[in-house]
Amino acid sequence: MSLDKKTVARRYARALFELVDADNEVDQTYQELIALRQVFEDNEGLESALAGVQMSLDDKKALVSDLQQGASQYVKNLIQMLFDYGRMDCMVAIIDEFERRYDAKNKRIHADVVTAIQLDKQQRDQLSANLAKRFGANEVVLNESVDPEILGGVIVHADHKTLDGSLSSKIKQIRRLLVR
Amino acid sequence: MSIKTEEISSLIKKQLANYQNQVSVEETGTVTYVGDGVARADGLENAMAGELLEFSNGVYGMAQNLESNDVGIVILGDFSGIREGDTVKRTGRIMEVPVGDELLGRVVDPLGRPLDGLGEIKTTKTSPIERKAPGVMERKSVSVPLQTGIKVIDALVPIGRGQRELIIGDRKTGKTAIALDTIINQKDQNVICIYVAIGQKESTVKANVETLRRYGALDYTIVVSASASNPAPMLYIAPYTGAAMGEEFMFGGKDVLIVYDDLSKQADAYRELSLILRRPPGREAYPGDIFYTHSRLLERAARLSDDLGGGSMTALPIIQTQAGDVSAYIPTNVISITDGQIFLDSDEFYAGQRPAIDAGTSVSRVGGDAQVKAMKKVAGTLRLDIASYNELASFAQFGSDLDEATQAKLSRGQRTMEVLKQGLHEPQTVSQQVVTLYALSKGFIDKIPLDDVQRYESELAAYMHANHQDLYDSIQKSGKLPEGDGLHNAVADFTKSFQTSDDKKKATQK
Repeated sequence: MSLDKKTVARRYARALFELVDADNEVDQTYQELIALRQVFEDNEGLESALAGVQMSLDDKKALVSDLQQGASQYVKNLIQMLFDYGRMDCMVAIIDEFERRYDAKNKRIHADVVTAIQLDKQQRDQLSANLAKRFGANEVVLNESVDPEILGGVIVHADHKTLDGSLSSKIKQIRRLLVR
Repeated sequence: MSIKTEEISSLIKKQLANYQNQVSVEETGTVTYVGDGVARADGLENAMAGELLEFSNGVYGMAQNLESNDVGIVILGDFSGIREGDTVKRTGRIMEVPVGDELLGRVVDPLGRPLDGLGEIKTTKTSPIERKAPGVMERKSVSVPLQTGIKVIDALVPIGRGQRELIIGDRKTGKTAIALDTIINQKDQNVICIYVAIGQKESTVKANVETLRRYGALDYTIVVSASASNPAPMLYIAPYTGAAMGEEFMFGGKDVLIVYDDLSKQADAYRELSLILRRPPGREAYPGDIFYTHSRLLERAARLSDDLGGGSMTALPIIQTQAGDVSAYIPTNVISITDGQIFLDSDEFYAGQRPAIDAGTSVSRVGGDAQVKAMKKVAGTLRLDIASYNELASFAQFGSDLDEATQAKLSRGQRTMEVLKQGLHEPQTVSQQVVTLYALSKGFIDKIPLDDVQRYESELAAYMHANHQDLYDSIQKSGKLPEGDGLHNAVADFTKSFQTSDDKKKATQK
C-alpha cells in the first residue's frame, strides 16, 4: 500500500527539521521554505507538472534547477531528493508540516480569524494578546478573513480548536433550544 | 413593606456583572471523506475511542478508528447532509442512551428516541451503551428458572435466570415465535423484557409489537428497533443499547429478559462498517473482532450476587443459519459463547412438529440446576426416550413385523412427540406442563389414539383446573410433585372418563 501524502510529509519534514536544528539553521531554512511555498502557490500547476508525465525529463530538470537558485544547501538537497524520488507533489505538505514544527519550537500559533467586519489595529492587538495568553504562545500569527454571514463577534480556529463567539451560532443555539 | 429599589438594583447590577458572554471552546476536525455511514476526519487529536462526535448539521457520530493521521467515524443518523470539509466537534462524552422505568411499553430506536408516536420519553437517567460485564465476584450461579411456557423447552432445555440461551435455525422455523412466547409468558412474573429487533422489516416489527400488545405483554417490555432501512451503525449499536437499558433494571435488583433478534444481522452490519472503515477482512469477510463484538455483548447477561441486589439478565440471542449449516462462522462463534442452544429444524417444522425443536442438538448447559424438581422428575428420561424413538422410527420404516415391545416403544414415542406440540402464543404454566408430562411418563396416554392426544391434554388441564386446583397450587408453590397418590388418582380418574373420538362416534350412531 502506498503511503499517503500526510505520512510522507511528516517523515520528510521531521528529517529536515532535525538536520537544520542541529546546525542552527532553522530560521534561515524556514524563510527559504516559505518563499518556496509562495512560488508553488503563485504558479498553480507547478506541483502537478513536476510530478506528472506531460513534461519531458529535461524540461523538468531545468525547472528544478530554477527552483534551486539561491537556496541553501539543505533546501537544494531537499528539492533534488524529492524530485529524484518522485515526491514533488508532497512539497507543499512538507513545508506545512515543517512550519508546524517550527511553530511548536518557537511557541508560535497560527490562528484563522473570521469576523463580520474588518478588524482595526487595536482590536487586532487585543485579540493576539488574548489568544497568546489562552494558548500559552509567545507569538500569534493572525490570518484574517471577513464573513458578513456571521453577523457579529468572532470565530477563531487555532491548534485544532474552535473558539466560537459569533452571533450567528448563538442564534442557532437559541433556535435549537426553542425547538426542543 | 415597601419595595427597596436601591437594594434590588444593586443586586441586579451584581448579577449583570457576573453575566458574561460565553465563548464556546471546542476541539474540532475537518471531514475528509464521507460514504455509506462512515466518515473520516482530520484533526480531533484527543478524541477517545467510542466518543460521541457532533457534525455541523447536528448529526452524531461515534469515533471508531483512531489512526495516526485521521479518525474513522461511524455516523448515527442521516449522512446525506454531511459534506467533505464540514467540521466535526468533540463532545467529550461516551455514547449514552436514556434508561429507566419510563421506557417500559415504548418502542425506541437505538439512540433511545421514541418511534411509536406516543410523545417524548421523560427519562432522567442515561447509561453508556458499552459497559464492562460484571466480574467473577459480582456474580452468582444460575438457580432460578425462567419459565418459557413452552413444554419442550422447559422440559428438555430449561433456561435459568441469568443464562444465555441461543435460539438458532433456518429462516421461517419459528425462532421469533419462541422468543415472543417467552416474553408473553413473563406476565405477572415480575420480569422486565427487552426485545431488540435488528435489521428486520418495519412491518414485522409492527406485527410483533401488536402481538405483544394484544397479550398484554407490552406493559413490561421495551422494544428497541433498528430496522432494515436504518444505516449499518444503528444496527450495530442496537443490541448494546438494549443491554444498557436492561442493566439498569438488573442493577436495580430486578430480573430482565432480553431478546436479540437477530445477531446475524448485527454481524452483517458490523462487517459492512468494518469493510468501509478499511479494517482487514477475515473469514467470510467478517472483521477480526467479530467474536469480541458478540462475546462482550452476551457476557453482560448475568445473575448478580446478593450484595448487588441479586438481579439478573437472561439473554436469548437469535441466529439465522443458511440451510441448517451450524458450522458457519457466526453460528459457531455464538454457540461457543452461549450456555446452550435451542436448535430449530425446518424439516420438523414443515412436518407439523411445532415448535420444531431438535431434541438431539438442543442443550442447556446451566439450566438443569434451575429446573423445578417436579419437572426434573417427569422429564428426566424424555431426551433419551425421544432419541431412541427417532432411531427406532427410522429403522421401523423398512418392515412391519415388529415385536410387541418395539411397537409399544414406537407408540409411546409418537405420543411423546404429539404431546410436545404446542400452539402459537399459548404458553402453559409449569404445573400444567408437569401434569401433562406425568400422564405421559406414567403411561396414561399410551391408550389414547394419536389423533386425540392434543384434545386429551387440553381437557386434562381443564379437568385439573376445575377439580384439583390444589394439586396445581402445590406444584407451583413447592416445585415438587405432590406427595401421596393424589395426582396419580386424579389423572387416572380423568383418563377413565375421557371419551375418545371413536367412543363419541359410537355414541352418536346409537
